[in-house]
Amino acid sequence: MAEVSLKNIVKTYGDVRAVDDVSLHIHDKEFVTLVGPSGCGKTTTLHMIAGLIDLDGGHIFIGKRDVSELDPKDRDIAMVFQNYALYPHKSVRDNLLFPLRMRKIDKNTADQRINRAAKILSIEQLLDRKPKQLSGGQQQRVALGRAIVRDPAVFLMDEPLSNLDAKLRLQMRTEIKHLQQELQATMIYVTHDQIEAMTMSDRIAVMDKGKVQQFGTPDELFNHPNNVFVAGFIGNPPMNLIPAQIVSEGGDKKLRMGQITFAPQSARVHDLINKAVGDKVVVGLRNTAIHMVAAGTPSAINTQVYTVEPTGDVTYVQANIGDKMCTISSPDVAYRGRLGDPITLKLDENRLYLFDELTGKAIV
Amino acid sequence: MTRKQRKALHAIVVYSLIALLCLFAFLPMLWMASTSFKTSSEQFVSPPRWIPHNPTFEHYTKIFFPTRLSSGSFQIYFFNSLFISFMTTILALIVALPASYAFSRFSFPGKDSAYFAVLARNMFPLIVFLIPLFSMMRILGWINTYTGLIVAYMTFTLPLAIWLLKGFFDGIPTELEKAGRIDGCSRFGAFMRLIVPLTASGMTAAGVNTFIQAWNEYGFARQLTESASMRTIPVGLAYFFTENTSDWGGLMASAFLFSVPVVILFMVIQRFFIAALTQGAVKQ
Repeated sequence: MAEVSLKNIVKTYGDVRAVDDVSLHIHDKEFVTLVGPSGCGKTTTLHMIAGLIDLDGGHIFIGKRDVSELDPKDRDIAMVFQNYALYPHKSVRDNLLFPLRMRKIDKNTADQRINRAAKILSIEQLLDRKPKQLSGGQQQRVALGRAIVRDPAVFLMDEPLSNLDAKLRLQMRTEIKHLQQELQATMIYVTHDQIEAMTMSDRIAVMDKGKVQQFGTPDELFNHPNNVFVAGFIGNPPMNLIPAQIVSEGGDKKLRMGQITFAPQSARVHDLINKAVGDKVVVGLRNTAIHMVAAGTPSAINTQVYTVEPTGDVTYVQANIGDKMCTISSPDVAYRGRLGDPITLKLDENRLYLFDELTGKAIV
Repeated sequence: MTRKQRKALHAIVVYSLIALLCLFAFLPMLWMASTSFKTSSEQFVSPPRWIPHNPTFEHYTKIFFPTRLSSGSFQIYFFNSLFISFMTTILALIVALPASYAFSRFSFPGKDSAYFAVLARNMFPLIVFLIPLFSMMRILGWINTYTGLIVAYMTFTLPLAIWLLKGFFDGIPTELEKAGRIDGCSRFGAFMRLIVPLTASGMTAAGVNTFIQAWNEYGFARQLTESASMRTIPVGLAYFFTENTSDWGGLMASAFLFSVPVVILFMVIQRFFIAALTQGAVKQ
């Protein structure tokens, strides 16, 4: 196993900077996820680490080696693909054997490694089948097996769960995380699903427009987003982001969100407002940082129910704050408001984020 | 009419039409076979007989051991046809395999125009290529040679082979080569070890097609060969008609033997061939 360093890597396609000056340092035995919307450059970055896409700038180190110019086969990596990429004309055993044979590993060692991998993944009974005869989940295990037998310095995972049905995805998510810890593997994982990223990773790199927006632990990303993009991307449901204007009324600074003027009570929010450069900001509030309270509560916001979405263990209420549709966790799971029912909301000022509207950066 | 009756009627109509189509295809073949076993006098009796009264092998003997010195023997034609078709197939596959792979996988300047040029060949009748080809072959000294014919046959076999194989490559996910390269192959190694085995059926389809096209070709072979020893079977067949004689028996016997290899080839791999064609057509 090894650490991986990306130093200012760049990939351009015509005028588009698909990967724009990305630098990451991934520790040995760390599970790092690259997450972002499609077209954000995460897969390109992964393929650059693999050597499948050439760099237009920067360097990649695996361990102490600069691998920037090496062929994929010489980088000591293994990769699992979204569509598994099993060799259809080979049996499962031969699929697992192929990377070992290419590396001229002797028969006994190869057999040992295949049997070990098959045992770890419980695919022993499938070894003589062809990929076509396997279910999606089984194919996924074989693809993982083909990576494991290699005993590579780094595992690269390219959206490995996207082709599985929802239930299997949850199960494999757990298994891959367990596997990474069992093998003490350095793993770089690409997904567009922030829940996968949150649940599996030691650290997450959130990417957008070819750049790393923030690189940190799931907690850091969730609790201290650097900018509006990270705030809106991480978390389910996503953070409510309400455009607001800082206004002065009677020497007191307030936040005007659409028709509503919100007068902050806490020194913290006043402090944030004072730090704002312009008067246009974005207010960020998680669904749990907006509370439904009794009508008439002081400095609360009155609005109306748009929809109610029960999920079983949580009930979400959608309602407008200012002109922005917001999602709120109802304190009462059994709450079943109808369209237009009046509700009163209190903003949790300790968990209120403020972002500069122009730069998107968090004001701290 | 009940539903059952309607179904029965439907079946009768469908099968009658199929039978008619089969007759249309097979009757000339049967007539050819029948005539090849008739004596010259029996060939023209009226009403015509399907089964010869006095079956004879004289035409078969004649085509293998011709009495006229000017005409080649069937075994020479047969060898020429077989050799040229076989070599055409091999060469076409050797060229088409990497070419179609490149068209399927790589992006390079002029790719679209190049591919268009390949397919555009099909827009022109073959015969328009004959005169320029003839001039080229004469300059190269390839008139009346195997090389000349085999190269000339590339003009119509390659476009189809490239198009067919490209369809196959397009249907193979690129991740397979990527996985192969990560697992330890070079780019070429991944192509040879992982992709080529998967196109076996595609190569068979393209190969059989090429072989049959070359086997049946007449125009080029007629113009680019001179001596009887270089004739292919289709050219040889034409020589059964001269100014003075029409040797129907010899023609039918030769034509019958000419069709046998293709029929056998097709019967053996028919299932495989159809599967291959449809597999290439439908991408997963």
